[in-house]
Amino acid sequence: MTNNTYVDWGLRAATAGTFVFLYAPLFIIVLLSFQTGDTPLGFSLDYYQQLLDATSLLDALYLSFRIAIVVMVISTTLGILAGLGIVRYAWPRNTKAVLAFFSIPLTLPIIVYAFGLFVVTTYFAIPRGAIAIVLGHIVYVLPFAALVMVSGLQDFDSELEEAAMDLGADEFTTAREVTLPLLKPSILAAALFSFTLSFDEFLIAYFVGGKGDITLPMQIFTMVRRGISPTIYSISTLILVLSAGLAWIALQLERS
Amino acid sequence: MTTVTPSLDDIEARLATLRATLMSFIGSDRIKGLLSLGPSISVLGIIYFLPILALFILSFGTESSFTGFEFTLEHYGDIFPLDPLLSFNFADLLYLGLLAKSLKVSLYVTIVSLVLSYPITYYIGNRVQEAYRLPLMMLIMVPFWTSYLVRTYSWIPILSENGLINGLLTTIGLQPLQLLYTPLATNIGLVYLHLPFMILPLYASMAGLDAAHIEAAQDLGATRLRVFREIVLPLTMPGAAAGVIFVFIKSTAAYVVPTLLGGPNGILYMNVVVSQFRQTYNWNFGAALSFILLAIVLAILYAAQKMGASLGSAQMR
Repeated sequence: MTNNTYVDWGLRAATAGTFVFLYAPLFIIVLLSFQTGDTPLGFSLDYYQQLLDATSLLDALYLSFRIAIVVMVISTTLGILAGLGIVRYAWPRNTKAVLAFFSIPLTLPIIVYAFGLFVVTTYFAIPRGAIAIVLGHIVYVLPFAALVMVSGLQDFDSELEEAAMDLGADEFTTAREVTLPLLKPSILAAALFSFTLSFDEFLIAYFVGGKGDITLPMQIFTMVRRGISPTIYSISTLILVLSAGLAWIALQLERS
Repeated sequence: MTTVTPSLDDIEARLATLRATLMSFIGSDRIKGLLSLGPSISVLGIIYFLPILALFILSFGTESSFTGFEFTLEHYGDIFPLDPLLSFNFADLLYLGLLAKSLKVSLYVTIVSLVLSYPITYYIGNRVQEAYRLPLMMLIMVPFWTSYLVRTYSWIPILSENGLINGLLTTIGLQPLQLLYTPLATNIGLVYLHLPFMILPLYASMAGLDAAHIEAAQDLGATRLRVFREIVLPLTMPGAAAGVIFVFIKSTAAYVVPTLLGGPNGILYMNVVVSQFRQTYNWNFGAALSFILLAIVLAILYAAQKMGASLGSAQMR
């Protein structure tokens, strides 16, 4: 048995080590965001204060936020409809093919799509900037939203809808009073995933974003290439907290 | 000139049949399917597949626009130049050399990710109490959903010249190392970013393992190693294959990590492709380089599908 306890301890240590590997870098960013001047272990809110004067970062944050909201609304709406179509209706017959169609953008490298969108926006004279980014983000996010809805709908108890119909509710009332409330967790999860995905997306924005329209990831990329300035730690901490929080809620909703 | 005024009842009856046919038309699965799936399929078709198709066409074009398009294979020819290939001057194969370098890096990253993923998924899937499994998996997935840009450069304060590791090294009296802007930094960054793509599908198949199987084997006197080799390994193959494919594809297409962590000598294939679009404005050549990568990706996916990898489990990010 001693041999087995060694193995168990080994497994435990490897698991703990992997968690340290996953979290240590993020923890260090958070720690650094609170440092005072040159002493790395002090505590102050200096870098957060400096953030308030970093207009380029704040502008970028605001733009990313607005883009993410628009993308969230459009992609979630399309995703709900697509989910209903895939799970409920027998058209098109080949559900597997439809699912594969939706999975292609998730599987192929996004960067190649970014090149394609870059070329097409130029050719059709779609100005680089927020609108082009929104278009790119919608297709980047839509497959996630649709698949979240598909898995939500597959667990759905359609007997409740039938009961409502039996009691005399028409399709519209049933949809509003029964289907939508039951699907609410999946819809919220799809929306939150859509928001974070768009908010953190870099490659598409980097290629179709314009000189005036710079999203937060684009701004951070430029800052990191020029050499890290302290505000990067504070803005990153805010991003981490925001996206981790949203992801946590979304994952909970998805599993409920 | 006699106009037949239809009676009110008549109109009502006609309207009723019209409504009935309309309702049955709208109510049919076909129309519902069309109305619900149609928008998404057209959005993906126009905004996703059209740009990819445009890129594909450009890769055979002489100019960076579609007007005055002339078919040529010269861009693919530049990637596979015949002279150096035939005279074995492999140093002249600039692009293929970089591609090989990228594929090699992806292979390393994939192997390291796989080795790191086995213990943690086995432990969480089989050793941890049921109630803790989901929370632990959530802990793995949450950082995965945060900004990959932030996660990439979070290694800079650790690896930089006066970063954490070198700080520790100098405190204990050792020489500082050049860690940041090296291939090692790229590899670490890629493993860090892509590890969850390996852990998730592997965990899915670990959780599907039957504990009774393992216990039975152990009761019959099988060693841990033998249990792992003969039960765990074969049964988790589909999950591992899915993870391998996703990590490999994502690493081969990596641009941000080599750019931010790899330094000037750490550039990989995608850095050259990006520069065709952003610096040298040689879109046709960039498109051809992209499609070489896509061809590799598709070949891997096709082979995996043939071998029955459960790709679906890893698709959800």
